[in-house]
Amino acid sequence: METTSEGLLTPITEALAKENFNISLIFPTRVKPPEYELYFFRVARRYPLHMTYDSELKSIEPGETLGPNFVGTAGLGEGKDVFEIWEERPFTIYHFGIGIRPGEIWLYRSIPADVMQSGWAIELPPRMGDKRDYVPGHLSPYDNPTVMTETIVYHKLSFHVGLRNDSGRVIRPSLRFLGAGYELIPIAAREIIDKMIRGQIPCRFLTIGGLRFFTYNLPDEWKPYAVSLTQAEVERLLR
Amino acid sequence: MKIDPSDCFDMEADVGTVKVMLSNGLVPITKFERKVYGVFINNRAGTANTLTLTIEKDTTVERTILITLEAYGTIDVNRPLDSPILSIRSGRNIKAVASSPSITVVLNAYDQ
Repeated sequence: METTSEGLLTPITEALAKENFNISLIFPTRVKPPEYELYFFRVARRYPLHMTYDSELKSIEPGETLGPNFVGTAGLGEGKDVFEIWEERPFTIYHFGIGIRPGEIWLYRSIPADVMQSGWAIELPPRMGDKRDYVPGHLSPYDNPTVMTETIVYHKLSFHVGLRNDSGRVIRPSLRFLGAGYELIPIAAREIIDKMIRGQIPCRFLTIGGLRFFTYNLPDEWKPYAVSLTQAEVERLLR
Repeated sequence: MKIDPSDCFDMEADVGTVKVMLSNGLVPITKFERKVYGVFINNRAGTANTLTLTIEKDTTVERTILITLEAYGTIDVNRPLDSPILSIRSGRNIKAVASSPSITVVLNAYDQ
């Protein structure tokens, strides 16, 4: 596994970690000066994660939206939240992409639930229907979801999706959640972590929740394994 | 942009002597244009018939396409997605009228 990130249009099945691979989850702790909190894990076990939404989703009129809401057992915002990880499994995470059908359906994601994911650094937070921060089905097709929709979910992280119909006709969309569940072993040894940050030991680094600053909740069991990444730390590691 | 079969849809109408818009007949202004790659037209009359397709912006006719059919005649054309028969620009609609009842019109299309 490379230490660099995957291409955005890479199929998500090629971006998943295998057993015995290392991953690191990156969270923002301060904007100015920038500081981040990282958690390093080894994937001990993985199993495919697959779910489809077909008849469960409501038809959307042209130009209209659905959600954002949690992914429920009976549909968007209906039934139990499928992605709510049991508190007894704090070291299980989900890593998946979302396939969208047809191509004219736009997908918006909120992670955590009240923070719409964004790659933009502008004052206005994104909203459903905006012509930015969405993924059209053409860029993450139903049959082959891509890294464009790459998502990580763990216990205490909420995840909502919203849809918009950009066509001129009524569409009942379909979604495919495709990826893997991982059981993780946390890594605490600083010398190993330093090598992963330097790129000497392979590790896949994963940004959680887009680039907007947000406050986050983590499983209590993760807290002893936090690694702070600051300018001083980066400079120390590069020496 | 790769077009998937699920991106394609039908425009259709049962056309008589009164001009009608085909279902899904308006190209949204958010789109660049509509490509029509498939045509099925059937004249259900026992005499020759003329189908007039009009591409209109609001109610202004911009293009007129005349198709003559024999009695009970059928036109069935299906082209590859990247070789469409007809392009319709953003914000236009497509309407149809026959010289006598009735003609079934089904057009297969996608927007881009």
